[in-house]
Amino acid sequence: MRSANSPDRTSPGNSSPGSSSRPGGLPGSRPPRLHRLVALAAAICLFLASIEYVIPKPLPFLRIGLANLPLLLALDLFPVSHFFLLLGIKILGQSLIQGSLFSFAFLLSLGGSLASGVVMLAARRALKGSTSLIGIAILGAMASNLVQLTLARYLVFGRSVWMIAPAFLLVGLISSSILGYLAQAYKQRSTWLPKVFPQLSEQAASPPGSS
Amino acid sequence: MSASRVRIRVLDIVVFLVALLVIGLISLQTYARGRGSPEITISGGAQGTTQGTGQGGGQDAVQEAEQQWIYPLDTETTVRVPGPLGETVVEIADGTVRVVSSPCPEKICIKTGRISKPGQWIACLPNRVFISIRGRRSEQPDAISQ
Repeated sequence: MRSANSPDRTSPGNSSPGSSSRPGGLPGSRPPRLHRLVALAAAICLFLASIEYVIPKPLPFLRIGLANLPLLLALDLFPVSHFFLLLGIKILGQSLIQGSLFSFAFLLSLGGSLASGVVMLAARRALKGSTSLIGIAILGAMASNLVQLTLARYLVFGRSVWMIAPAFLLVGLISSSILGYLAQAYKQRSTWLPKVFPQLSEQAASPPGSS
Repeated sequence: MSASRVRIRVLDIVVFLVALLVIGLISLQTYARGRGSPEITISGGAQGTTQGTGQGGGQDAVQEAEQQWIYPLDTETTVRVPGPLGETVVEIADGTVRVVSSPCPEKICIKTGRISKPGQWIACLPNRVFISIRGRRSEQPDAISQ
């Protein structure tokens, strides 16, 4: 299931010669193979994680979650196995960047990210098309934050964790709404995505494009 | 490149509002707790000795696994709190808390008597037991405004 080069229905393959010769794309923009795209998405994740690491945080918990942007987009693009591969790389890489790999914060991050991944994937599949990525992002952030709070309550801080819970959740709600908006906007407007994932352009063609 | 508007669905707004509602409920539950019936926090159970090694000064601050017990003020119970010297017996009855017996030399904690209002506390330093009542203070004027 986890093998990187299993043939998938989403695998772009070499079957779309029309899109391969379009100018303006990446150099030699033949649709790349799926595992390369996972690597690219993971690289973007880690890049965003480093950017976020540079931004000062007023409190250790108040994070933006920039690194989840590629994950949001990956929901529709990758099959489940590759999505979780990307998620795993993001969890490990982000804690490596933040220096929290062997601290309790890693457990929180692991739990939160896994929960949000599962919830977002389930919600995306269940509510296919009836929410945009904004709703999905909010659900994911809530799942992640609630799991993190619960873990923090039982592992580290005890009951007093709930004192910061409202602020923590509220910040998560706002930042995830913004992130979801950005992801949705990128997904609608990107000219690169439909080239790499031809099945997307079929989807995007049916709603009014209003160009 | 189409500059189409980002499609926000009705369900997105529903999700947002539900999340907001959940946050509201959690904050209500969290912050209403302080407003409800006051509760008693007993902390103690440290096994470390009060005497340090003498070197380094801060050594004697090291404690082993201090615990907390939390009870609503309207319970009727007796709590035995272990400490370095032995057991401190705390009695909660009739909306008051007092230390019934303590192995400490000075018995200050016992002499403190009963406490019943938020903000009041009993401490037994030799046995490392601290008892306090938390909750919203009653509407009575405090020492400054009296």
